[in-house]
Amino acid sequence: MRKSKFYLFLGIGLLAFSILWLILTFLTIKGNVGSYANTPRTIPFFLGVCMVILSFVFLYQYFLGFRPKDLHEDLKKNELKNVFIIVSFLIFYTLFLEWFGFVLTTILFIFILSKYVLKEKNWIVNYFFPLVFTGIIYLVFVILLHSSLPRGTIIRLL
Amino acid sequence: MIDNILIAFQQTFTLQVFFIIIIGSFIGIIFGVIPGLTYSMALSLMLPFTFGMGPINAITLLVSVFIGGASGGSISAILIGVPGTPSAAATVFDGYPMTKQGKAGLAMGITVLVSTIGGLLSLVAMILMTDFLAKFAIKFGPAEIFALVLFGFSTICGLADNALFRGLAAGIFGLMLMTVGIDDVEGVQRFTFGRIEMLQGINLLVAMIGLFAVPHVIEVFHSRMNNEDKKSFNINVSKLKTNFPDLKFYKKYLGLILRCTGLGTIIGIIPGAGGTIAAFLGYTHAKNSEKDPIEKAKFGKGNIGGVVGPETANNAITGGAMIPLLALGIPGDPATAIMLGALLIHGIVPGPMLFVQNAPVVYSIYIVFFVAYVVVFFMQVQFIKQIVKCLAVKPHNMAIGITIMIVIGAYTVRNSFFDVYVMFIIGFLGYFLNRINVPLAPIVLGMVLGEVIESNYRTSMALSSGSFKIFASSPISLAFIFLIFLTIGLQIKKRSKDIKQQKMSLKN
Repeated sequence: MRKSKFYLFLGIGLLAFSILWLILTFLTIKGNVGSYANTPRTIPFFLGVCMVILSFVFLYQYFLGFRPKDLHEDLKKNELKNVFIIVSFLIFYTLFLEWFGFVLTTILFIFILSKYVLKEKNWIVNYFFPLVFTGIIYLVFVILLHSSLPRGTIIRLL
Repeated sequence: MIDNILIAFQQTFTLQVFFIIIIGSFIGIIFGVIPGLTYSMALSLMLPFTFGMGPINAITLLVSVFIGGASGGSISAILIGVPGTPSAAATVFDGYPMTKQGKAGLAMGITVLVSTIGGLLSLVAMILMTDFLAKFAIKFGPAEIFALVLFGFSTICGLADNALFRGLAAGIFGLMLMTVGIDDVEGVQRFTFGRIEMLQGINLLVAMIGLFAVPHVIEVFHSRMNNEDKKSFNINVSKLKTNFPDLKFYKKYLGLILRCTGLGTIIGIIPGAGGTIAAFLGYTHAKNSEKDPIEKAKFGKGNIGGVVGPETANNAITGGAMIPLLALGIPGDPATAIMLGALLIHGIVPGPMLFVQNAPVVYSIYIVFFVAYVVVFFMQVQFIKQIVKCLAVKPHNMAIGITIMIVIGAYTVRNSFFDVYVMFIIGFLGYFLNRINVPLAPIVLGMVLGEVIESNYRTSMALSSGSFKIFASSPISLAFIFLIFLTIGLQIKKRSKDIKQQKMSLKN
C-alpha cells in the first residue's frame, strides 16, 4: 500500500506556521509587565508551543505510516482554476462595492455571475433576480432596519 | 421575579415580535430543508439584520431561525432521503423507507409532533436548569471559570468528527485568532502589524460568516462551473399532507420520547456535541430499547421508533444548548456562539449576572422559544407543500443570494471593508481546511472561548501573584481540571485503539 503523505504535509505545514507564530510572538508583542506567566505574550506563546507539539504528533503519525480514517480527496477537475476565478470575482465585487456602492455593483455582479460565470440559461433568473434581490436587500436594510449599505466613494463624488 | 416575567410578556407580546418569529421560523425551516445549508449558516446570515433591531427583536429572530432550522432538516430526510442538516441524517434510515411505503404523511406528522414535544420539554429543562446553574455559577471566581471553560474546550476538540488531533489543532487555531488585536489587560498590541483596522482584532461574527458560508459558496459555484452541480429536487406535492398518528402511538412511544428528550438535552449541554450525535444516540437507543424482535428487525426498513428517537433527541438539544449560554455565558455549539455574539452586540452579557442585571431578557427568551416551537409546528403542518417547493430552487441560484448576504453581513458588522476581506481570507482558509478534513466547528468555539480563557487566566494569575496554585485552590476548579484530564485521557485512549487497529490492518 502506498504510504499516505497527508500527515507529513500537515505536520510540516503546522510546524512552519507554529515557528512563524512563535517568532512573531517575541518580535511583535511588547511589554513584559508582571511575572513571566502573566504577560500579553503568555497565552500566544503557550498556543504556539501547543501547535509545535501537535505538528510533531502529525509527523510521528506519518513516520509510523498511518493514514487518516477519512482520507482527503485529490484535487477535483479544474478545482484550482475555478476557485481562483471565484475568489477573484468576489474580491472584485468587494472592490467595486467600495467604489460604486451597493445597488449598482450588486445588480451587475449577480447578472455577470449568473449569466457568464455560472452559465444560467433561465432569462428570468438572469435579468429579474439581480433587480429584485438587490431591491429587497436595500428595502430591508436601509428602509426597514435603518442600517447603512456601501454608498460607493465614486458615486458620492458625483 | 413576577415583575420581570410581566416585563418579559410586555416585551414579547407584540405584533412585531410575532412577525419576526414567523419570518425567522420560516427562514430556519428553509435552511434546514435544503441539503447543504445549515442553521448555523442561516444564523450567521441573519446576524446583520439584527444590528438595526432592539435586543429582544434580535434574539427573537435568532432563536426562531435556530428552532426552525433544527426542525426543518427532517423534511428532506423523509421525503427525498437526503438529510437537510447533519442532525437529520439518522432520520433517513427509517423516515425515507416510510415514504417509499407511501407513509410520507405519517412520517412527517410523527416528526413534527415529536420534534415539538422534544423541543418544548427541553425548554422546561432549560428553565429549571439555567436558573439553578446560574445561582451555582455566581459563586465562581476567575480560576473556576478558567477551569470550566478549559474543560469545555477539551470536550469540543475531542468530539470533532473522529479527528482528535486535527480538531485540537483547529481549536487552538481559533484561540490564536482571538489573541490578535489589543490585549484587554494591558492594552498591548498583538499581531496587528501596525494596522489600525487590526487593533480591534478579528471579529468573531465576521469569522463565523466566513467559516460557515464561504466554503459552501465556493463548493457550489465550483460544481456548477464543472457542470457537476447537484440537481434540484422536484417533488410532487399535490398529495403531500401531514398526518398525525393515533392514540396507540402515544401509549407505545411516550417513554421513548421522554428518554430521548433527556438524552438530547444532556447532549445539548455538553459543549461541541451537537444535534448529530444526539440524533444517532437517539436512534441507537430507540433500536436497543425495542423489545419486540419483529419490530426490531424493521429498523432501517421504516420503523416508527427509528423516526421518533432521533427526531426527539435532535430537537431536545435546542433547550440544552441554551443552558450553558444563559447560565455561564459559554456557548455549547456554533449556533449558540452566534447568539452570544448578537447578545454582546446589544450590550447583554450572558452568564450568572444576566439574571441580576437583565432578568426580563432571560424570560423573554423562554417565551420566544415556546412561541417559535408552536409556530414551527403549525408551519410544518399547514404549509408543508409550500416549504417542500423550495427544494426545487437550484443550489447555485441560492448560493448567489448567500454570496451577497455574506459580503453585506461582514460589512455591516463594523461598516468596514477590511472585515469583508478578513471574512474572505478566513472563508478561503475554511474551504482549504474542509478539503483536508480539518473540522471547522472547533475554530469557532476556540474563538468564542478564547477571550474568556485568557481574561480569566490572567485575572487569576494577577490575584495569585503569578502562582499556579490558584487553579488547585478550590474543589470546583480541581474537579474541572480532573474532568479535563479524564476527557483528554479517554480521547487519547480511543485514538490509540484506532491506531492499533489500523496498524494491525496494515500488517495484514
